[in-house]
Amino acid sequence: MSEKLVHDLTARLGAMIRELSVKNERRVYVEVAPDDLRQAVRVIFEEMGARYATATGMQVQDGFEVLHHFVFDSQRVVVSLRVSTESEEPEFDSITPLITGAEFIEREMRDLLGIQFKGHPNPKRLILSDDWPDDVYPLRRGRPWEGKVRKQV
Amino acid sequence: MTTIVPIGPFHPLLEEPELFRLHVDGETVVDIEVEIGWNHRGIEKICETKTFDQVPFVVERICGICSACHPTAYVQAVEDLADIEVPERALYIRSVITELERLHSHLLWLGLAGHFLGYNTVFMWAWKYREPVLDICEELTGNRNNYAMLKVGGVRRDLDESLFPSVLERMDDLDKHLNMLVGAVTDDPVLHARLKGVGILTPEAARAYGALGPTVRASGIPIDVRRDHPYAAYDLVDWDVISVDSCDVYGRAVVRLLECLESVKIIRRCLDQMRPGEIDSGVKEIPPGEGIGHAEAPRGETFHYVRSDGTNRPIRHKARAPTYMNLPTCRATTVGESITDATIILASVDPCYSCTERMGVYDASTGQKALDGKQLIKLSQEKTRQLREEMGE
Repeated sequence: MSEKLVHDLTARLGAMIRELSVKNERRVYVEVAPDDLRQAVRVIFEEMGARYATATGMQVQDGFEVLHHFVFDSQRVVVSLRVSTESEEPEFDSITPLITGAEFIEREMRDLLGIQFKGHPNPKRLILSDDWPDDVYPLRRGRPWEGKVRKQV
Repeated sequence: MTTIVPIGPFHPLLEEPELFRLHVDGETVVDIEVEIGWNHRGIEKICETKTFDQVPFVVERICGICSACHPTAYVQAVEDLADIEVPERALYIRSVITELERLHSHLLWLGLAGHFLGYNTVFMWAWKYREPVLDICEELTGNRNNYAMLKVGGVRRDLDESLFPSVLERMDDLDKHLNMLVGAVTDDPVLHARLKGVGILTPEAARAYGALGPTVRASGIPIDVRRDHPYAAYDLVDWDVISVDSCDVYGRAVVRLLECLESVKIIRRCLDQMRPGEIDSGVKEIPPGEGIGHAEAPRGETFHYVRSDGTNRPIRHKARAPTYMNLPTCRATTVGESITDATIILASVDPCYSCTERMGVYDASTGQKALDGKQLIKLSQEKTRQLREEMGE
C-alpha cells in the first residue's frame, strides 16, 4: 500500500530526506533537517494533499524532537515528519503560516515542552494558566515544577 | 460599538471546557477568540508513569463520552508499535462497543441541539431513545460508560451471547425511532429555514483547519477512519460512510442522524457474524519503538502516538481528541453570523458544549452583565418561534 507513496515522497523530497523508514505498510517516518521543515511540509500538505493530524513533541535523551503527523486517507498511510535538535533551547520553524490547523498544537508544545516556533502568528499560552512560572515545562523529563513558585499576575 | 460576549470557560459536563470570546457588533458576530486549557489534567504525563496495561484505564477517562475511542486508538498504537495480531472475535467486540458509543453520543447531541433551537420534544425523544443504548452498554460491559473493555492485544472480557437476541430486538426498536427522528428533522420547514445556510464551513476551510468527523463530512469531504484506515471489524461488515455537501449546521445534523442508522446496521451485522473464539492474544512485553493508532470517535478522528524504550511504561504518549481540530473552525463558521445563531453553530461541531448557563453577554464599556446563558438560549429559541409564526405553523 505504501510503496507508491514512498516512491512519490522520495522523488519529491529528494535531498531533504535525512532518513526514511517504512515501519509497516501503513506507517512511514521521514526525518528532515530543521531548515527544510517548511519546504517539506509544503510538499506533503500542499502538493501531495495530505491531511494534517497533529504533532508530537518530546524530550529525548539528547535534545528534542517534533513529529508532524500527516494522514493520507485515500492511501491508508500515516506519514510522520520528524525534526530534531540537540539544543537545550529548542526552536523550530512554525508551520502554522502554511497550515491553520497547526496553531493550537504548536502553542501547546511551547507551553508544555518549551519548544519555540519561529514565525508563529499567535504565540500565546494555550494550556498553562497565566500564573504558571515561565521557565517550567511540565512535559520535560522528571518533575520540573518542584520547588518553583507561582508567578504574580 | 463592539460588545465582547464571553462564553465559558467552565462546563462541568464537558471533556474540554473552553472559553469563546465573541466580538459582537449589534447582532452580528465580527470576531471570535477561543481559549482552551481550563481543565488540563496532564494525562500525557500521567501515562508515562503507568504500565502499558494500565494506560487504557487512564485514557478512557479523557472524555466522559468517548470512553471506548481513546483506548481503541491507544491499544492500536501499541499494537502498531509491537506488531501484535488481534483475534477476530476481539475485533468484532471492539466495533460493537465503539458503535454503541457513537449511538449514545449522537443522540445526546441531537437532544441538546433540539433544546437550543426550542424543539424540546426532540430533546425528550432523543434522550429517551438514548437510554436503552446505555442499558445495552451496561448489560454487555458492566458499565454505562468507562467500559474498561480495551486491552493491548484484544479485549478484557467476552460478550455474553445469550444477551444478543434482546439487544437485537432493541436495535430494531431504535431503528424505527431513528427513522421517525430523521423524518421529523428532514421534513420540518422551520428547521430548514433555521439551519440551512447557517455556519458555513467550506471544504477549503475544513482542510486548512484539519476538521474531522461529522463536521468535515457535512462539508462534502467523505473521510472516515473506519473505512479509510480499517480497524476493529469495520472492513469485515458492510456499511456506508455518510457525507453531505451542504457545509452548514443542517448538514452536520443530518450526517449525525444518518450515521446512527449506520451504527445500528454495524452492530446488527457484528453480532450476527461474530463466532466464538479467542479474545486476547496474550501480550507479554512491549519492545522499544514507536507506534501510531487512530480511531473514528463520534466527533472525528482520535489520534494517539506511543513511544517505548523497552521498559513496561511508555516513554511518551500523545493523545489528540477530535474537538482539538474542530473547535478552531468556529473562526470560519461564526464570523458574520447573528448572535442568535452562535449557540447552535458552536454546538454543531459537538464540542460536548452543553453547560450553557455559563454563557453571558457583558457590555464592554460598563463591564456589566447584559445577557446570561439562559437568555442566549431564549434568544435562539425565540428566533425559531418567530420563524414558525411567519411560516404559519
